[in-house]
This record gives sequence, structure tokens and C-alpha cells, in this order.
Amino acid sequence: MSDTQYNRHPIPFIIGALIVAMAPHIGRLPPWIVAWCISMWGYMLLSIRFQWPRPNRIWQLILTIAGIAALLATYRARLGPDSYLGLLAVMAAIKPFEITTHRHCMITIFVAYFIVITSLFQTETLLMALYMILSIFFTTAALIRVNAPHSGLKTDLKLSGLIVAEALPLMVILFLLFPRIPGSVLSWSRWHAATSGFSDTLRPGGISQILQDPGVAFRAAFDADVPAADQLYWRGLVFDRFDGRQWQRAHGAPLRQSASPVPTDDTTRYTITLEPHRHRWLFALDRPLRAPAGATLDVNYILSNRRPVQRRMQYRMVSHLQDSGMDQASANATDAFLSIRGNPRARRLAEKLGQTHDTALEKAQQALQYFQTNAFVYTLAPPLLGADPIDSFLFETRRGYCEHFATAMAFMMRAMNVPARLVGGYLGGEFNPYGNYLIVKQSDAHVWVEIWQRHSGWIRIDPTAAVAPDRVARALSNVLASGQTRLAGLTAWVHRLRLGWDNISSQWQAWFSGYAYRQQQALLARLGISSAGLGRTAKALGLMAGLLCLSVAALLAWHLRSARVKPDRVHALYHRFCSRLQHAGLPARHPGMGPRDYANQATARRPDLINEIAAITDLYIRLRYGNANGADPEVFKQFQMRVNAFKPKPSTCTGENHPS
Amino acid sequence: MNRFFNVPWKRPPRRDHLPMTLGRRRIFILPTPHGWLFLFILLAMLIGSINYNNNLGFMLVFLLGAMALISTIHTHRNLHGLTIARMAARPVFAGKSAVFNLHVDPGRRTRTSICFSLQKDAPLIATITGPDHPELAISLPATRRGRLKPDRLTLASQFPMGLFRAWSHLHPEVDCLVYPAPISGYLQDGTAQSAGQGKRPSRHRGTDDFQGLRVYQPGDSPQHIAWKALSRGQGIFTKQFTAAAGSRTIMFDLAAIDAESLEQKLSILCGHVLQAHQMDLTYGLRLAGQTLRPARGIAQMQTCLKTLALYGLPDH
Repeated sequence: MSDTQYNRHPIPFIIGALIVAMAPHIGRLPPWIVAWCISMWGYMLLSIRFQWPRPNRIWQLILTIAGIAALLATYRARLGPDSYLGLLAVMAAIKPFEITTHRHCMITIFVAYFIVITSLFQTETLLMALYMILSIFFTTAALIRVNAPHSGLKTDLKLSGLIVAEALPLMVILFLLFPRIPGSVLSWSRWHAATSGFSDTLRPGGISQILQDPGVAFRAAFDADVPAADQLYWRGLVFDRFDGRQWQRAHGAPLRQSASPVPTDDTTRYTITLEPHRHRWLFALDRPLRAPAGATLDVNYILSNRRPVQRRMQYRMVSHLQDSGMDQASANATDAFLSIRGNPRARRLAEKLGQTHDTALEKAQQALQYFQTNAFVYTLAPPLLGADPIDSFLFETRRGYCEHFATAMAFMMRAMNVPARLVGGYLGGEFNPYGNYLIVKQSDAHVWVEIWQRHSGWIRIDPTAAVAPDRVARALSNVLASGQTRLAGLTAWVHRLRLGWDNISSQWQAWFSGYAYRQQQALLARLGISSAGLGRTAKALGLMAGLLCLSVAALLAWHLRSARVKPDRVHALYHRFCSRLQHAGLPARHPGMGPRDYANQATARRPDLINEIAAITDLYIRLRYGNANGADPEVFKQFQMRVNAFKPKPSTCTGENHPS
Repeated sequence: MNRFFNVPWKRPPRRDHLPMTLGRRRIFILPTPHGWLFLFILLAMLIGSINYNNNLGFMLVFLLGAMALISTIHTHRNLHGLTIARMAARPVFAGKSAVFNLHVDPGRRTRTSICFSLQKDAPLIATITGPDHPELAISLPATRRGRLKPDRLTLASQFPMGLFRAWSHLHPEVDCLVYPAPISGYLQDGTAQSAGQGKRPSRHRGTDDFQGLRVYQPGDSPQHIAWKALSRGQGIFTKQFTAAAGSRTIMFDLAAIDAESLEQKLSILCGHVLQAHQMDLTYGLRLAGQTLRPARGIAQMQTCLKTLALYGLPDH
């Protein structure tokens, strides 16, 4: 086998490993890099198949320079995970061209491992974890191929699978017991994946992308029953200042706990598992009563976490679902909720509608009626709005979704001298019967209005529900679909499967992502390692090392044992042979007697058994004394068969000194 | 080489008797350079995972680390229980390569990509699937006449992941007889003492009296190799000639050889023996202290060559 053949052989496997490793990143790479990878790897594979020339060193250099130039053009100076990934992909694409030695193969495989690891900075989902293990399995198969070029693909895959399977228990031990430290060592910023959701500003048409995003915003598990569907208004943030085009998020002072009404009963308790959204606000059912640990509740009833939510987080909440009307906290700030700018036609319309009514609720009723009677259409693809967005929505396009209705409504209320503000959050959620929790998706995003009524406080008004009851109905139907789904056949089956998977993966994620210093300490305490501080760490390390050594020793023993037959088994079989002779009426073997002597003694009494006795004794001697390092399995098999077949009958005739 | 550095603290290794099975204590294992690089990458990733408190990172680092650890078992297992059943080498002339033939019994499992070597470089990589695997030929340059004892036989394996290298050093009780490098030339006056009819053999290279072919022996002149037969793939044969067949008897005497050193004299004698054998003469050998009585044939040639190979060496 020539050198070139040797070197070419593993390349398709290495490219396969690179493709598997790169696959989860495709969404984050610019299209040209994907095309670049496909064409380079494709050419390499075809060049092996059809013996085309490989790019020489000069061409490799040109490709490298071209790739880096294109990277610079794409990412400019924005260094970050994406540009790093791009560089890795561009280089991995041309790396196979230069493979000529075993060393190149090894390095390329390491690059593949590196790409696999890069994907962990994206998500910590169960699916990703499983995919990564699969990817490592393939990469390792390629690595084995590199180191054993003559073995078959099936052998490689089998061995790779065996190694991964044997490593998994060790991985679990290390994962659980490797000492974790509280917090982060250095405050390097985390690599961010693109997230969607609300931002600091809100304008009509701003969140249309969210409304088509099937991603999960958070999950909520209730202590008791899930509340009525029309109560599931998940409050996230409040927008109070309007500059004529867009709304700004309100920054309220912290709510003094004494000012917050805490009803003793009629509260809803639940746990929220929030997906990272890189902002500080947390979501809770309208209206939250207390802030969870590490967060604050402000006068606008907005929960604000101490740090931006960079990773999945779980918190306990208590909410009071009925509008209490006892909210006095922001009474003195109502003037701030009256300022409006621009949109003169909308202002005139509101003033006209509000003329005849006094109370805030009556005025709101007028506005809602206006939406209902003027052929407004709910659509997720509204036309663009002009310079005065509310004017152009109310009088020109009349098509929009919650944001349009809510902003217009709030504007009109303010124009009618009623303090009003916008609340952003989610509406509804899908009930998962397998885990007894609600899945709230980005597409459930919703914006509604709150108006101030003297003596009552802030009252929730949802103009979208008035104009497009089906929008709210859609949210409701999802909640109602709980369990007794109305879907049929395969769709229902797929739907159930999806819900079941969501349950498993969210539980996994809650445990897996949450496993950190505190959880480890709790685990160690449960294992009986009670001393605190460094002593505990040392004991944990000792336990970890001990378990690792035990596992490795057990595996080693198992692997090395499988090659030979245990001497005990040989001995046991020989013992059976002796006792059968004894049953046949021969004297028992003296403990010190050698097998050869015993055979002579036995054949002297039973010449009819001479063939069998001689053969078995011969095999026994070969097994017992032949090879110091364990018996030959083939010989053992023969020995076993012979002994088992050896069933001598008690002798009745021969022998001068018959026993009995 | 080792016998010149036979210092007290470095005793000559105990020789292993074949067949010899590799046990646990004979196998050593350490990371390869690639293994160190891999471990370094893992360490860097571990630090990253600790910093980001990234559990997926931890999981992956621990999985890869555990796999590297597990791979040591598989690497070890690839050598463990391997039996070197036989090892032998046919005599060669100094300056050529001694070829040691190794018969290896893999036991029950396939031994993948095992690296056999008798010296630092030029290893032989073989995958041994069963006990009937053909013999492995490992060569070692034979620089000087005498008995060539390989310093050690190294068996190594990096299978399956190339991150660790397991190896075992064997010191098999085996040697290769190295004849002196023959210096060929015509038998000259004075070197051959007539013992019989006194008729000096000369010019007996006549190619006209072709007798037949016989199997090639080390030492046969390349000029007499039956190249046609070789090119037909029939094996190596030597053409035999009858020109000098017959009654003449020669004694080769070391003392009569005129050369600078003993080694040169032995080489010249070696050439003479080969030539005499080729001409199918009856010849004997007289060295200081020992005399081989005249005879002819392959056995005589081999005895003579062996005597020349070991002449004056301490361990003979």
C-alpha cells in the first residue's frame, strides 16, 4: 500500500466528521461560508473519487488569503463568536487539501472536535446535548480510522460507540463531582446567541417578527389549577413615554412593600422557567405581588432582575389575578401618563369621542366602539405607517395587530385626558398535559393598555380583544386544548409527541442548566459529605477520583478477562469429571494426586473408559499447565464438551477388588 | 552495541524465552505528542467552561476526557495477551540486513496496527487477525560478523485514538549469524595449499559446463543466479557448473592470507569458501587452533562460514 493511498483513505471520514460537527452552526454562518465549505469538501471528495489533482501549496495559500479577505469583508472588525465560527469554518473547509501525513489527519480531527465544542455556546437544550454526543461519536470513528487505516467502517463505528458508551458513566461522575465554584471567575461576557423578544422601545409594527417566532419564551407550572384562559396576561414591561412615533419603556421606582396590597387568599402560585432574553425584565401573571429573590418589583408592577437574564432561569411567583383596584402607588405620577405628541387627527378624533363622557371607563368604551364600528382588520402583515403612525393607522390603513390597537388606544385615552400606558408581555400559552405546565411562546407576545381611573387605579383594557376576538380566542383555544385535543390522526400524534418531548427536554434543561455550585453542595450533603468548605471539596475530589479509578479498573478487568478462560472454570469442570468417576464407583481423587496419576489409577480399574479419561486428562493438563496466561478458548470448549458428555455407568463386571 | 557499555548499573537485560506472552506488567503507556495536545485543548476548554459556568461545556470536556482515559484501556488491550511465538533469522553476510522472522499469535482478538521494531526507526506496522498470520519480517542492519543479537524488540500500539502509545520491550533469546563480508577474487597462489594431487585450481569459471540449477544459498555469486528463472517467478536458483568438479582438494589457511587485518583475512577466506563451493571443490579450512577437514557441499560451506563468522569472538 503506497503512502498516498494510506493518506487518502481516511479523508472522506474526516470530511464526514467535519460536516456533522458543522451542521448545527449553519444557521449562524453567512451563506457564502456554507457554499465555501460545500464546494471545498465536495471538490476534495470528488478529487479522491476521480483522481483529480489536489490544490498545491500555492493554491492553498491563495484560498487561505481569499477566505480571510472574505471574512474580513463580512465581519469587518466585529470580533465575536460569529466571526470566530466563520474563521473556523473557512479554515476547516480548506484543511483537508493539505492532509498528507498522519499528523495532518489528527490535527483536522481535533479541529472537528473543536467545532463540536463551539456549538455549546449556543444552547443547552437536550437535543443539542444529544446531537453533540452523536457528533463526537462520528468524529471519534474518523479518528479511529486515521489510526487504523485498514479496518472497516463498521468496526470503526462499533469501537467508537463502545468508547463513547464506556466514557458516559465516567462523564456523569465527573459532571456531578468535579468541584464547581460559585459565580463566574472572570466577568467575561457570555457568547450571545441571537434572541428575540421585546426591547426598550415599542412602535406600531415593531414586534411583527416575534409574532411569527415559534420559540419558547418561558414555561409556567402552577401549584394548583391553571387559571382561566382570559386571565393569562403575562406582564413583562410598561411603556409610558410617547414621542409621537414610538413608546419608551418606563423606569419606575421600587415598590415599597407596605404600599403593595398582599391579599391573604385568592392568590395564584406558580414557577416560571424563563428562556434567556438578555434583558433584565421578568414575566409574571398580571399582577405580581412579590419579587422573587434577586429581583425587584417597581411601582409599575414590573419585575426587574438584578442582572440581565443570560441563561435559563427559574423563579417562584405569586400573583393576584383579579384587578384589585387598590393600587395607589403611582397615583401621583399620573400626569406623566398624559403627554402626547404629533398625530393631530387622532387627537381631534379622541377629543370628539371623549366630549360627552366623564369617567375613564366610559371614554375607553367610546374608543373601543370606534375600533369595532370602523372596519378595522386584525392582521399580522400590516402595511407600513407614515410619519404620524397613529393618524395613518386610524384613518388610512386600519390594518394591524395588538401593537397598533394598543398604541392607538393609549394615545386616544391620553388625548381624552385619561392617564394611559402600554403593557408588553404575553397572552395565553399552550398547556402541556405531560408535564402539567404552560408553554408560552414568542408568538404569544401581546401588548395591551392600562388606564387610570380615580379610586380604582390602573385598569387593564385589551383593545385587540375588542376588535379581533379571534386573536384572544386563539390564545384561549390553545389553553383549552389541554389534553383532550381536537386534532385528529397523525397530526394529533405528532402534537402529543411534541408536547411529550417538550416536557422531557424542559425538565432536563431545568436540571442540567441549573446544576451548579449550590446544587452540587446539596448533592454532596445528601451523599453524606457534610463538612463545609475546602474539606468538602477535597472529599468530593477524593470520591470522584475513587469512583473513576474503580470504573476504569472494572473496565480494564472486563476487557482483559474476555480474552481468556478463567482457571476456576477449568478446575470446576475437572472436579465434575472426578466426581462423576467417583459416582461410577471409583475411589475419590487424593488431594495431592496429579491428574496423570489419577488417570492411570482410574484406567487400571476401568479399562473400558480409557479413551475418554485419557482425552479429558490430556485436555486438562493442556489447559492447566500449558499457558501461563489463561487457557485457549478453543481447547476449553472441547474440554467442556467432553466433560459434560462423560457419564460413566457404575461398573458391574470387571475388577478384582470391586468397591462396595 | 550494548556489550561495550556493560557498566554495572546497566546490566544486560534478562533474555526472554519464546514463546512469550505480553502480560500487564510488561506494557507501558504514555500520551503521544498528539495526546498531550489533546489534553491541552481539553484543559483550555475546561477553564472556559468553569468561567462561563457552562454545563454543556463541562459535559463535553468530561466526555472527551473520559474517552481519552477509556482509550488507554483499549490501547493497552491491543497489546495485552499478544504472544510472540517464534523468532528466527537466517544467516547473512556482514553489511547486509539481517531479517528476523516473527511469528505472532494474536490470541482471540484482532490486534490492530501493531508497530514492531528492532531499532528506533523503520518500524513494521501490521494488523494481526489470527494465529495463522504470515510471519513478519523485521530487518536489522548486520554491520559486523559474529552473532547479531537484537538489542530489543519493541511492540507498540497507538490504536485506537492515537492519543496514547502503549509499548513493550522484549529481549528475545534470538540471534542472527553474520558471516564476514566476502571479498571475492580468484583463488591465489599461496592461499590454497594443495593437500591432494597438488593441482592448483585456477580459471575454473568456465560457463560452458552448465550442470543444472539448485536452490540459491546465501553467498552464491550473483553472476550465477538464474535470472531467467527468477524473472519467471520461479524463485531464486543458482546455476551450477561442473568445470572444477572432481578430485581436487584445497586447504584454506588463515596464516597464508596476506592482508592488513584479521577481518580482511577472514573476508578473503569467506570469498574463497564461496568460490570453492561454487566450483564444487573439496576444501578445508585451517585457522589458528582449529582445522576443518576437507569436504564439499552445502554443509561444508555452512560450517566453514560459521567458523569464520565466529572466529576469535569472545562468546564462542
